[in-house]
Amino acid sequence: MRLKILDHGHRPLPQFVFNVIWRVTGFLPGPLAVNSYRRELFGRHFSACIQAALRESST
Amino acid sequence: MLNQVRTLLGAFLGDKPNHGVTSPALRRAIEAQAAQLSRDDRATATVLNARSAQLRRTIEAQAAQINQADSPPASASSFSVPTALEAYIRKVTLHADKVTDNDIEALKQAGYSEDELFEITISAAIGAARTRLNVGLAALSIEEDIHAS
Repeated sequence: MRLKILDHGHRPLPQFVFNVIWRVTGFLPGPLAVNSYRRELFGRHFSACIQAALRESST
Repeated sequence: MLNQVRTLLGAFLGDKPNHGVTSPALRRAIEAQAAQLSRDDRATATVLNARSAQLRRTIEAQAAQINQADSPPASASSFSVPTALEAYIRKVTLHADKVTDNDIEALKQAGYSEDELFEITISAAIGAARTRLNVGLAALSIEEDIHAS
């Protein structure tokens, strides 16, 4: 990631999960890192948008 | 879906200073500038594969109208974006794939922290995405009108 805070700036729980993902897959998906960083500011709401776009009725 | 978008806009661009390290006014100004850049970008309409120039013009007009109704309060537009950020916002809005480490380094040299750059980038991305969403929705409503008539 271009911003180091997105590699190492997360809270302990997501950081632990990311370490596991990193060890298993060898990389960390960028969108996951962005959406998990300071979730109350952006990620929580953006995830809701994605959920609505992908899962809810299109009508 | 639109409700979720409104919640996102309200949470990220709202008047809650504790939500970010940058000021809400700066975030709104960046978002508005990116939205404007997106609107000006002719490729936005072309990407929609509009079938005629007339249709493209109609879509753009509708999108502009939607954006106007959906735009941040006047106080946001009175806040100007710092010059140092303008090129970066343009790049994130129109050519996000061309952002490089050098762009980030230059902004850090200019005194922006990583947290500020995170918020600036998200603000620009939201502005660009909002315009493209509105253009897409306008295109859909035109399609429905065409089928109905």
